[in-house]
Amino acid sequence: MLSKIFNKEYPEFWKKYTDSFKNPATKYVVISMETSGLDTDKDVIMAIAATSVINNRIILKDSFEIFIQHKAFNETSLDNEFITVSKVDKITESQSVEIILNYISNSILIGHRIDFDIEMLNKLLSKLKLGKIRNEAFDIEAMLNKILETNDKMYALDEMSNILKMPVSNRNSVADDAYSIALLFLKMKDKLGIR
Amino acid sequence: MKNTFAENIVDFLQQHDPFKTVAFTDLLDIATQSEIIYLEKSKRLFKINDELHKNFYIVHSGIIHLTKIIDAQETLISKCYVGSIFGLRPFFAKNNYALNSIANEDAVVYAIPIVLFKPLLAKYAAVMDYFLESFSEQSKSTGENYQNLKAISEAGSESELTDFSYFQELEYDKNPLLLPVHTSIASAAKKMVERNSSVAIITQNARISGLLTDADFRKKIAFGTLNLEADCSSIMQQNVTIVEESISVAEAQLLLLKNDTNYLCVTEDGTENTRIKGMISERDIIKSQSNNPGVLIDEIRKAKNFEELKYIHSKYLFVIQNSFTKNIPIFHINNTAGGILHTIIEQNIKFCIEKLGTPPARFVWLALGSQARKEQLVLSDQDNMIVYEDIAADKHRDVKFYFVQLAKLVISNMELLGYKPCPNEHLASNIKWCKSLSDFTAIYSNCIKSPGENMSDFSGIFFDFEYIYGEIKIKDSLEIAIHQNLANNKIFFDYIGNQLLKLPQPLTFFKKFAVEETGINKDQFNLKEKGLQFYIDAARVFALSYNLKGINSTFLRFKQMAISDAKNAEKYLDFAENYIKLQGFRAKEGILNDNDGAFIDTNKLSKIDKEELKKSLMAIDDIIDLIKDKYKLTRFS
Repeated sequence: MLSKIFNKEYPEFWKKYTDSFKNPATKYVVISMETSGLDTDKDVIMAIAATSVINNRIILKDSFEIFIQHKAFNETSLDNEFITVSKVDKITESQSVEIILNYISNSILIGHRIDFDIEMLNKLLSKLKLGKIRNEAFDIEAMLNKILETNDKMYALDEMSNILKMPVSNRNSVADDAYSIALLFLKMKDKLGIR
Repeated sequence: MKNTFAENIVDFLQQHDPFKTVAFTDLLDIATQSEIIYLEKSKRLFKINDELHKNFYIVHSGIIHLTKIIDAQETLISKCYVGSIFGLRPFFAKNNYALNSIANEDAVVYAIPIVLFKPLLAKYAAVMDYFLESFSEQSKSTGENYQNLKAISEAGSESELTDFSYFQELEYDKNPLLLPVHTSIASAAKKMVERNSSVAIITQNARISGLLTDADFRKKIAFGTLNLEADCSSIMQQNVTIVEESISVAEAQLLLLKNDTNYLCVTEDGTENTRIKGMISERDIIKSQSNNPGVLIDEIRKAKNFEELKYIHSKYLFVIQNSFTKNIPIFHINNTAGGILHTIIEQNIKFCIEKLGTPPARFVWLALGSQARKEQLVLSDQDNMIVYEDIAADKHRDVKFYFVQLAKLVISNMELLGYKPCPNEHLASNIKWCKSLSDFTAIYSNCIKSPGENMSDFSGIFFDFEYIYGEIKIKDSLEIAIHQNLANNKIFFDYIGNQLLKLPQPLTFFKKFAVEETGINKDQFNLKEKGLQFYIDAARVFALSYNLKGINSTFLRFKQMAISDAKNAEKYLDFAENYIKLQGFRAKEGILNDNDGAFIDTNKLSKIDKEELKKSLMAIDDIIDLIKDKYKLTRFS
């Protein structure tokens, strides 16, 4: 009875995810997401893009991009009409969680204001009655702050690209953001001595 | 699944040759499998003799240098800019890389898997052509993608290296006729006829034993005293000059003359004990010199339009670059390069005159500053002026209008070649510096007689002018007028001497480099302002006061001063040496970074270079002392 409470029946992919942390991380995963807003309680994730970085290289074939289908749970806060119109293939929240966890497993996460992204993921996980994200994470904004010796200054993604003289893409989707983040990460990584 | 990442790459590829013609879906397939590599400055992607990668590379941002070891020195072969393709060797060869690839500034490179790309070669003729074109030596590309093609061909095969070969490696017969030592004279002759070759290497155990040439047959056989069935060793020449593979054209030429022979044998390490690699003949050397400075000037004169000129200019830059990597004395490079550049400007002016119609008056185009001193090794500013003959007042407006238009055209063309217009507008297109002879004479004599009052935008470089095009008599009379004014004019020398002393000091009190404290070049050393400027200005002051007419080069001015002012000869020679050293630093920096090399990062210099630089800068104190002494400057201590 008690064991039932502690060893809650978790789905297979969650076990696989937690098990993966027995081994050291082998890659970085650059992650970027689009949300309906900045409120972690009310807003939801609409799209996620991620790509992996191994040995100073961005591995494109090891990347994904998903769009999540939402049912309106609060009519005033989320008008989901545009979602139904869009032509992009979408998947449900539970499906997406499985894909994401399988993909990131024990890797180190990289993102722009990554704490917010993780917060959003945690909320999604708790909705499905799962635990929290356990990955180590680097925030490129914090990295830039360290390089420029500025304290907690806010840098938009484009701003960072300009400061570090990286090419700016004129496209503007989650995946493009993830791509820019990956380049910025590669650029700063050596400067900060991250292996 | 949608893959926006890959689309990003396709976007980029589609802007560049040869992918412009490839369909979006095909590119998307490749892009999905590609990798993106970030290279920090001075990191290497592959080294000579590295195993071939499975990818070839495209520069997305930054600059990649391809280098090779020649004469035990790492020599720059080619620069790959944004959109350039490199590392194509795996397409065509099985053996390991022959070049180094190094990021010269932080670079992002796309790696594209060759296996996936190969089908596209078959599918798209244009892509195939692009690749093939780069391998045919005759392909005369336009200036812009010249570097591109170069990069491809370098990576592909070694034999293409000799495009700009005056100071470079030599291309030669890699497959000479080899005959074993026991071949009879008759069959040797037969084989030589078959191969249409005038020379054969006689070998013993695959090592060089001697050389058999047409001349040997003439001299030794034609008399009929020898049995034609005898071994060919009986008539071969035994003293063969053997050289190693990486010989440069200049070296080969010297050896041919020195040893009074027409052929050089090439072996792996330059001794007779290693494998034979080929044969260099006099012809190879003549062929390789199609890009020597003399030929370049000839080509410039024959150029029919600006596009051709642009192409030749790119060759010219290459000649300079190569001269540097081969350690040719800077003074010689200065002279050759200056000569070529003047011819380019001259030709450029001719084109512009063709466009605008015959000039309404006689005029002379004068180069000023570094161009006139023949010291413009890097893409620095252009300064120039037009002097035209005195004309009737009613025509003056039209005439002036014509010359300003002409100047604008010429200057914009030169800008296309990479020479920025002078930021202080010391240009013939500025109405101030496009005037009649008597106007200019008045300006000069004003400045000389009452310096300081009229010097606001009259700088020292106006005393360094060099004839480029037009009526040379106008230049002569201007020169005479200046020197008449200068004679015994103490005030002027007092003034410009003091100007010189006001220049910023190169070294701090603690003998450290006085680096920039603010601005985009923070922590870099301004070599132009804090080093070269002293020498240039000082040399000018000396030259003016000693009436050294027609010598514009700073180096030569110091040398000449050593003769004219024998008392201080040693000092002058020392200045000349130090000046050349400083110029070397600047040119190196400029060539490496494709800029004018004015700023130099002293932290990146080796210890020896740092000391050299400091020594050259310290000599500036001697110059100052000498000037103070000579012109009895009293106002400043």
